[in-house]
Amino acid sequence: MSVLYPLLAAWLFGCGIYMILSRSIARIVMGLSLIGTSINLMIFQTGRIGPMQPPIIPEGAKAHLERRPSRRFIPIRILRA
Amino acid sequence: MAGILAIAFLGSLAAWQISYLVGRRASGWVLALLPGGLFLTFLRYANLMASGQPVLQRVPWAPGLGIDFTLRLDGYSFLFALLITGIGAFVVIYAGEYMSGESDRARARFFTLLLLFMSSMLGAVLSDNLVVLFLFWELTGILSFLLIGFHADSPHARRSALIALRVTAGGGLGLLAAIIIMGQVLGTYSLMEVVARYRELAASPWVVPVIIGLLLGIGTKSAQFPFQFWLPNAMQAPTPASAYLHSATMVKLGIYLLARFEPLFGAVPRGRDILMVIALSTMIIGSFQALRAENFKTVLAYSTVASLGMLVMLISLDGPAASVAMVGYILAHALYKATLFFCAGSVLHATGLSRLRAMGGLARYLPVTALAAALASLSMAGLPPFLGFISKEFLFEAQIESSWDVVPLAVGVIVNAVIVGVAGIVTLRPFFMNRGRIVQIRHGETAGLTAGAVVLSLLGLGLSLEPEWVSSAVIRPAVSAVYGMPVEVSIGLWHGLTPMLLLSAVVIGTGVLIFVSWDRLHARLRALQAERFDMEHMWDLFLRRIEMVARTTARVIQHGDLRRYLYTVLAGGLVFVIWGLVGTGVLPRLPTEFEWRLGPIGVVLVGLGGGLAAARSRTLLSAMLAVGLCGLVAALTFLLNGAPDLALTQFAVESLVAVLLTVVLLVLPMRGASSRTKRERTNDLLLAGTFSAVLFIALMDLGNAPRNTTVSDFFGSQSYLAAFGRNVTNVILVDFRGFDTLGETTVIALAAMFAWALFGPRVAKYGAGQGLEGQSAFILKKTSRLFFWLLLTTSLFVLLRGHNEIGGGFVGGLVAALAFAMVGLARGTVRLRSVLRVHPLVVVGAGLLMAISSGIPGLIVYGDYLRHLWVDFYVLGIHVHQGTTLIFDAGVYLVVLGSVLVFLFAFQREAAR
Repeated sequence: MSVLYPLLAAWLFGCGIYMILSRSIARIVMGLSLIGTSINLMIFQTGRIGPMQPPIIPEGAKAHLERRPSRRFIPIRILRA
Repeated sequence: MAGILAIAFLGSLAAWQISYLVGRRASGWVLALLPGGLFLTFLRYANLMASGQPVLQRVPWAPGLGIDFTLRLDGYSFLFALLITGIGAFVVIYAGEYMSGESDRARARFFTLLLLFMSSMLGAVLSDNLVVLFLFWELTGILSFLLIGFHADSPHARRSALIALRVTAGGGLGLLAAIIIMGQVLGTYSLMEVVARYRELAASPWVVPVIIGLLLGIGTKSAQFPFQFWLPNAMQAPTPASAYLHSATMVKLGIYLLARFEPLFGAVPRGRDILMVIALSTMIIGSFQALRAENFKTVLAYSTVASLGMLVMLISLDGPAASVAMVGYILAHALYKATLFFCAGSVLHATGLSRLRAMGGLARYLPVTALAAALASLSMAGLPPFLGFISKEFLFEAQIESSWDVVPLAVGVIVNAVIVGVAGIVTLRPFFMNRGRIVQIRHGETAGLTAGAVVLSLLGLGLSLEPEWVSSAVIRPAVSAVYGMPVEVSIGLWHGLTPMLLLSAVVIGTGVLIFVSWDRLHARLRALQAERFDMEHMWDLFLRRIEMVARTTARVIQHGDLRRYLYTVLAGGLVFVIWGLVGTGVLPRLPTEFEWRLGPIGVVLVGLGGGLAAARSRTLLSAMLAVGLCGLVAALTFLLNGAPDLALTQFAVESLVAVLLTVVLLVLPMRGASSRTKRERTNDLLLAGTFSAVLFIALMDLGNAPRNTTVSDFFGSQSYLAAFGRNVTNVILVDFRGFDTLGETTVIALAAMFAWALFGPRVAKYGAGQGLEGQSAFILKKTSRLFFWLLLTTSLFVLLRGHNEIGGGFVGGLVAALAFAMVGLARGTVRLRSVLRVHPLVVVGAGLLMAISSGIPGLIVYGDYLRHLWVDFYVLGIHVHQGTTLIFDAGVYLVVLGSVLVFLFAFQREAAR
């Protein structure tokens, strides 16, 4: 996992750069979209990736269960649009 | 003393009103009471000064920075304070008369500026703290700019004012640098302490920049070579201002400071030589130009330049006689130069003429002015029994006594001879010779125009005839303060047959010769066409060169080519990152164990393929699909790794992007020729590949770095206990970090408003999106209503359950927007607006208002804004536990919905054009 996801994020970023270097505005916009996806993946990876349960406390469970909360979603995409 | 200074400044500001109240005739006389009163106040310190006791006053200002408003009055400051206020009083009286033809407003402005200028000068000579001194120093520069450019409708005046400001303020930067370095080296900004510890400063390696900075500041202020050109230009100021600028203020400020720092220049190797070279150059240029000049005031201006050079020369000489000569010269020069400017202004005012050659025989019409000019000129020429004679005797004595060779003495004799000649020219020619040249003048003399000239010129005579008081109360303390130890000064007219007397005789003889042959000499010098070597010309070239460099730089850096910008940023950033990686020699942390699972591998492979397809695709549609695929891969990644909230959001966003892009796609060409050449594509590929590789290494390192989970653990354990929510993500968003979310929500709302402002005016013109109507598929049209209600209900469900299950306001808002987007896509924006009923910005505003007000209950109950409250109640027997978090989340929901709709409307209408 620790190889695959960095590879994906870096790859998408590279594709995005290739697209924004174009002179066509539509390709630039879509390149930015790719870069945005890549950045979201990167932010996600700062929390370390591994198979795990969602950060939702099951009903009736003890509240202080060991649990990894999720990362916050940065509303970058909506601004970009 | 701080009180005196405060009165000076406040009085200057009040002058505006007073000038209006008193009216045309008397305002000069009334306003002169301010400098006059200040003069008398300073006179009360005379006994204290005579005893050699400085007065010190410290007002704390910014003690942490070593900047205190410290004022210090010693003999030398005392001399300047008297000159500034005393001559200031006469300048104001003169100005009242001189400016009587101007409008009330112009006069009020002139008086205010003039008095503010006086106050700043006072502040500069009284400050002991160098930073405070610099502040006043620059204030005089700005005020002189305003005074020189007073007649702002004249381009010549504007140009002269700009030259003066650029030169003096530019030099002021040098002074500031010198002050800061001195403060850093010595740990103090006190002028007295810095001067007292000059040996320490001279021994420091920083002394060269300090000397350069000081020379820049002083040289520009006191019009020393090569900065002398701004001073003759400053003649554009109304005459009262010129008289003040040249005699007692502004240009003398540099001399004031230079004399303070004389020990430092003496301690630095070749320090005195540098000063001497500057001084001699200034003297020669000043006297040369004085002989060439045609206008009354310009001749005087260049003679001032020569005199300033003389003062710097005196400072560069060692020995007590030089200090005595300098102080005496400052006093004599201030008195006669102010008088001569007054006279020149009166002539200008009465005849409207400025060229010396056109004048003649004015003594008939302006007898008192002529008398004053004659007295001042005699002092300027250094004839006994005037003050100028005494100061010149001391000047030669200082030169002979000092350890210099014959060159400065020779230059001194020549320049003094020129000054004698000029003194004769500016008095005898306009007033007494060529009687027939002027037959009538506009108006005669008035008390206001002559008072200053008469009093000051008589002072030049009286002080030398009765030198006891002035030498004990003013000159001796000033000399002692400058020289650093008490100096016995004996001033008298007759020193016996000395070498100095002989030199004086030579000077006067040569001066008379110059005067007699002026006509021929003047014509010769004018024929020389020396303008090419003029510093002003060079200055213009210098400015033009600066502008050219700026323009070229802008053209190179701001070329406007997006590709080149991107290359600069990306390649530049890459170089730094690689440099950091290689330079530190730290290897990236690589994973130690590999765990291969089929699911993620498949997802990642799809993502890699999607990226590649997007980059390689030739048509917009395929590119869009590929980009959407990548977004879905990201969503799946989130889902597979325990972040369903993120996944849901990502899904919603991808769908929305698809809708928005579809709108755009309808109007863009589906397939265009490649915009890049093959070679460009290869380069781009190389850059993107390298960037990608470096990013990959960095991300691997990041993934294997140790991680601090304190914060996540806290949120995880407290989510239910403190905030009654089982969805930790949502609790963080609405509660723990509610302020952040509020900020982000506001950003989204603002972006929507700006987008509307950007598109709005254009949007209003259209009947809204008819172009899209009927283009969509029949099935989509028929099912859109169903989808709309389904999605809207889902969005509300997502919103409501958000606190405990997957969901929340943000995702809910996106889903709701999707519902509306479906309608828009299927049936056009007209239909969409009728479904929505209100303006999308109203939705945004209502949402923002809800989010903001959801924090108010907490503020009222607990005094904590955004601390959420919870209530328990029963509806139909069902227990409901609900908090203000829901209001907050609903606000976020509405803001997101409204914002997306704003963009949707804008896009659809743009597309419909």
